[in-house]
Amino acid sequence: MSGHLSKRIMKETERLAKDPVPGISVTAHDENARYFNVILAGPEGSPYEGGVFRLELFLPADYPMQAPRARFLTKIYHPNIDRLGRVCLDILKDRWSPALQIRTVLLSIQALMSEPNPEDALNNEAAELWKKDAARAKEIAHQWTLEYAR
Amino acid sequence: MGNTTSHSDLSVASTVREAPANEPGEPLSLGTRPAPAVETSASGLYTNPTDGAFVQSSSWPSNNDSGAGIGSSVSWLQGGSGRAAQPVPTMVHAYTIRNELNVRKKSVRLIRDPDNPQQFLLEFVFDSTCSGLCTVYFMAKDATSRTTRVEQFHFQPLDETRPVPTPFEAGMGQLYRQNTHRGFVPQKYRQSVLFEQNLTELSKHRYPIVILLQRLPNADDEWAEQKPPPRQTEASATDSGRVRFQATYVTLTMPLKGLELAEEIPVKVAQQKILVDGTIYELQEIYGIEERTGSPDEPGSGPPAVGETDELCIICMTDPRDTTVLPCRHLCLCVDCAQLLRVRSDRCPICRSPVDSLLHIRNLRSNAR
Ligand SMILES: [Zn+2]
Ligand SMILES: [Zn+2]
Repeated sequence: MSGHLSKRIMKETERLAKDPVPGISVTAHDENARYFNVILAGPEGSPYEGGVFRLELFLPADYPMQAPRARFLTKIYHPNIDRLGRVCLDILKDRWSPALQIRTVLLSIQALMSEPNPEDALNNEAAELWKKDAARAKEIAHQWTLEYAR
Repeated sequence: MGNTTSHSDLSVASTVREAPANEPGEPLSLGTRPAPAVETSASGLYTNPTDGAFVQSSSWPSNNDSGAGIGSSVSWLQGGSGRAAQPVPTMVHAYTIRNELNVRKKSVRLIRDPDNPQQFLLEFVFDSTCSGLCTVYFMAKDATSRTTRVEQFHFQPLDETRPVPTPFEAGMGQLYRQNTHRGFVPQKYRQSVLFEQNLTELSKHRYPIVILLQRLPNADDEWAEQKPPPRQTEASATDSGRVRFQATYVTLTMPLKGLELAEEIPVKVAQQKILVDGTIYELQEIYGIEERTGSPDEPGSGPPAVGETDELCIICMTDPRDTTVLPCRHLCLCVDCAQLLRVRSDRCPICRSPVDSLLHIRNLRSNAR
């Protein structure tokens, strides 16, 4: 791995600390600079509002040539997030570009919480309900938020 | 207006910052014998950082008509080497030179002559670091030699009247306004010819307007005298490595009001070429150079983190950007990360379009410090 790329990780980490994103907290792991603890505030106006969601974010060895991996540790009811907390997001897969950053990834996840995409489901059950009865689905999401995302 | 001192400095980045946007007298990159893969053609490329432009061209575009137009970046890269068929993009190196002659693209206008309303007069702003001649051709055929090395551009105007070269002195932001005796009468020509936009067609037939700036041989120019360092003296001793001509190819659009009523015919600079050391290079845009320099015309309008984020490579965020992705022309990488991108990805980080090759502009980096 080029030292070049690890400099990038340092820069990103520094910048996240210096200029944090509202509603998002990122802390690098003490022993592993590629592993981050993330806390996301549930976006206003979404069923996740008021919730505090914990995620883990990991940068693979050839980051940023490869996308980071992100996973919800807090249980969440969402069509694009499965039971293991894995997130279905295009920029984490084939739409990844090294121009994107940890910051942009987390902002995109926050945006996904505000606007689920039931057409591209990872949690089929939630996706079905979201399509059939969005109000009911949001109610469940909100209940889960109250229960798990404290 | 760019002051002369800024032009006596070969450094790209620093010069650019002080100079007016899009304006010349500025260093350019001149590509050299790119990778061995493309060496078959005496090709080169050449960028104009001020213009956010990059130029490339093979020798004079052989006979395949590809010399004209944006598509030529691709044809050049593929030129005779078959390299493009391979998955790994080519790495091409360029170095910078100064552009001593330049028509400001956005300044070109074709305005109705108040004294002689059936004709239109051309005007534009140009910059030159030396004295020279300016010639405007209407409905001209490009008869420049198609051999590898050319001494100068040749244009054959349709009109019996041969255009008269106008002498100019060194200076930035000079206004050229056409003499009323030499106006352009569009009604004389067929509209299909007049308003053709396709560069390939134009190159086969006639260009509505060509502006040719020529530096006079051995012209004493200000910067050569002002600049003490040996590098410059060397350069001024001969014409080697210096821009001798710039040709600006202008196309016309039918005015909304029609030719009879319009006060002005909309024009567009379709292409610019320069001649250096017997080789013709074509100027094209590079995206990203403007960003890193901000816009000198509107102070404070540039990106907030000028000098930090936007000048740095998008991948490592550490080294200055000096490598452009082709054919999309996004200047976003340092040369080390470009090497990495070559083998690890086939997409431009900015626009995700497929990468044909990567253009490393040498002096951008060292001078950006
Ligand atoms: Zn880099
Ligand atoms: Zn691009």
